[in-house]
Amino acid sequence: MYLHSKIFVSAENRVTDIIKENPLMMLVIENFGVYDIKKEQTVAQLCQKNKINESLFIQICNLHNGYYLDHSIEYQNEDLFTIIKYLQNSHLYYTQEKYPEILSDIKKLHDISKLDILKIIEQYFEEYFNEVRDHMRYEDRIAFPYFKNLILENKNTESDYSSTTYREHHTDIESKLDALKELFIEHIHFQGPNHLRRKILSDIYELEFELYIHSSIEDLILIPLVDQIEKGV
Amino acid sequence: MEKKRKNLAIVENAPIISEGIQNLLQKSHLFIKSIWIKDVENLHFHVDRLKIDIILINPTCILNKVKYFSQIKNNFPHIKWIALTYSILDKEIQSFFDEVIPINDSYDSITRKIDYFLANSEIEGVHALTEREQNVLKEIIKGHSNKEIADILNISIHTVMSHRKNIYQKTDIKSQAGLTVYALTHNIVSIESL
Repeated sequence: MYLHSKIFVSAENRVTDIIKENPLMMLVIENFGVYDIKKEQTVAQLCQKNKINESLFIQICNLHNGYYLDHSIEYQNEDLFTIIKYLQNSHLYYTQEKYPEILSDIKKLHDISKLDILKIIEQYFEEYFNEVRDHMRYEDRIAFPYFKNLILENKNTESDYSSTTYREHHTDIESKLDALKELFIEHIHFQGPNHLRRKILSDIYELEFELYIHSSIEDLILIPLVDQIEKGV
Repeated sequence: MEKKRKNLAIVENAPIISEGIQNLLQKSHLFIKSIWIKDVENLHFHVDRLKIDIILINPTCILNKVKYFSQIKNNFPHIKWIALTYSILDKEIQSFFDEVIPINDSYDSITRKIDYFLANSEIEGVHALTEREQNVLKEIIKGHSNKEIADILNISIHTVMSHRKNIYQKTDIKSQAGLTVYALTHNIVSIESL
């Protein structure tokens, strides 16, 4: 795992400072649906202005800075909307930005190197991308609307669906990245400009880190919160 | 044999202990990801979802829930259980664990004990392909039909089909590209032979 040793984000930090510390924060903030960052704005002010639970925001920032989840934080039912919005925005980032970018680089590397193995990797990556897209589409269209309905209708909807079904559908989409890493590190022998190969490799590591945090948010924040709502606590 | 990162769960209520162990493991050379599981009531769920290989646990968590923990142990027999002890353990409880780490153990001793389990869990179990299946896989990758594979390997079509079925079941991969990548990353074929 690719971890940064970074500052521990707190409410008093300036937002621009936490981005300077770790540029991934720009994406984190965008995933919260915030695009307008003022120069002197603190984390607390940003959260207040955009109606985001400050503890939740700080928790997710610190996951990106390499810290473990703080289990002492209790979430309110309303936080569910923020978490879902965050996850949906990051789905867009994966499916419209990150995966297409890596796929396009694999194609370019194939064009340059003419290595047959890259054609196989391209197919493998496309199949993997399709799986990820299907999984995220399922969450966006079925799981998340069901979770939101739990609060909006203030009762369990009459459906067979539940967080248990969500868990069962929950697949491990990160493990294929290990095979890709191995391919790019050990199985590509190419005497030529190496920048694309290095770029693809670092993109894969960045994607792995992002996906790891994404699934931590789903497993350790979202699911327990949905359980809490389903039980009517 | 490929080396995979292992997942270690820390089951301990005290945050200072859990985080201390996590920091210690982060600094070590061990190829693991450690996860603090505070929600002991749903341990079975976390263990399954997070694909846990080793559990480092404060034995007092088990005391009144021996039945629940034995069930987890039966359902996930591959998991190694290590007790993180604060005092001398009762004999009966001790038999539940594969290893005991006293809380005042040295840094080296702790990492060595965990490393021992990592080294011993590298052997692939039921999912490894047999030599015959590997030979069939090599031919599938070349794009040969069942009939052609039967002729090349001098076996019946039925045998080829049964090997093919086993390969799909064991690897959970059906696509040509996926099988090729599997064979490459498991050293069944080399890049030059493709």
